[in-house]
Amino acid sequence: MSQLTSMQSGLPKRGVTARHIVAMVISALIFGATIYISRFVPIKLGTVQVLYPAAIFAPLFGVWFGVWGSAGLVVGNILSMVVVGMNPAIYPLALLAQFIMGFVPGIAFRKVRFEGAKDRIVFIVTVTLGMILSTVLVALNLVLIQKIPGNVVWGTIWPWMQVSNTLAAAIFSPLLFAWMSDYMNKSGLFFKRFLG
Amino acid sequence: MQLYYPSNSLLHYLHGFTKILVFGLLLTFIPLFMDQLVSLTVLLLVCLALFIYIRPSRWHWLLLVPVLILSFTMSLSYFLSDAGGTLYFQADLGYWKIIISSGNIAVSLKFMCRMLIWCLLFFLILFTTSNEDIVMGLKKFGLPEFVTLSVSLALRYWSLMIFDVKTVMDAQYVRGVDFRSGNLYARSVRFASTLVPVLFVFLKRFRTTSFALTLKGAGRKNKRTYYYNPRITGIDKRVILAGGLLFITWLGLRCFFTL
Repeated sequence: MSQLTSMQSGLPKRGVTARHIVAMVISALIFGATIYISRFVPIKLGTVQVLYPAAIFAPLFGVWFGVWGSAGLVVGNILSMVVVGMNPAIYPLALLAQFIMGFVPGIAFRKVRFEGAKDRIVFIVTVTLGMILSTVLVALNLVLIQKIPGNVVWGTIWPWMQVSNTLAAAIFSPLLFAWMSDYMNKSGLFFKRFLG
Repeated sequence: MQLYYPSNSLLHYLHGFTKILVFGLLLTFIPLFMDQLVSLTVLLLVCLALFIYIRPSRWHWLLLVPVLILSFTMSLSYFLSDAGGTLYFQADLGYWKIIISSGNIAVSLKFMCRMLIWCLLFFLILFTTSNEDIVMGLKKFGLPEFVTLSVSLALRYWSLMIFDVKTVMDAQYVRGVDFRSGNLYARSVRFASTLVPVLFVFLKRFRTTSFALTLKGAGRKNKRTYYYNPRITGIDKRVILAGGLLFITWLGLRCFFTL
């Protein structure tokens, strides 16, 4: 009985609270604002931005707010699209990619700070994995929905995303995490469990 | 972020649900499966006519400029592959080849048309629907309460966030931080100094929001009372029917003709 109670102590029992909603909104706003700023860099590869600094923040929200931060990334991306008139309905896989960017590091790394070299390695590996998965989804969105030729997507756009998104996130996300995580923890918003 | 403006066009009177369903989904899928430039151009002109019908202001018209630039720059990637046709220009850049041919121009124009159609359809929703109505429309689709509430809050706080950044920048400016001189690196470093204070301002604001939401019983499963809850009217039903018929007609025509 007590085991059952402990199993039910997660989200199903507590339901969605204001804290979860606020976590979603914070990640949506910060992530959305970062994308919005970079949307005006008028260099595009297909529908992909050449510079995507938001990719650096995405894993952090996944780690800090778990699944709620990852969901906030989707809302944030939709917000940034809305402002420049881009229709989110034609980017389903790209929106899922935003979720994956936060989901993979979020589910694999549930600590508020780095406690050693192993933590740093785990963090970087999960961020890289999440980014590679999400860039594949973005590339599939380009091929299947935007109908951009496959050789252009897989030969030019996808490799560029590895530099623009994956490499940038693998370098800067751990630095930002080490710098800002304490602030986030002190604010009381850090989610110990992935599901909140 | 207030793209909505009040007016007396038919679209302004429609429910958010109707507009999201017809313009955001049904009509959005049509150009996705259109392969003829003529068909896409006709649809683009129809969307443009609807855009003119809602009488956007000069500021709203100007929003089409970034859309045009974005769709043009996006379409340039088609010149990295060979789509066949008459070759006009070719440049070998080692790994990449830039090819300008009649086939490439055609696919690039098709892409631009699609992007412009999608943007115009989306602007039709955004310019004629207030944030509250968009949220009510999403709610009608059966999305969970916490999703619609998050979207609603994010839409509301978007403009407040810009205000917060400006407030922090003004405070830093008074303290002697100069954001207007120096090279790009120096400016970026100075701008980064606003990051932590901005974060704290956000967190303070959201802590208050969290208390307010808790007091309002956010997340509770019991029946909610809505002060603003517009109904689907007869006009909405007719527009949904017309949109549905148009979609089915297009699907039917597509079986016999290459559109």
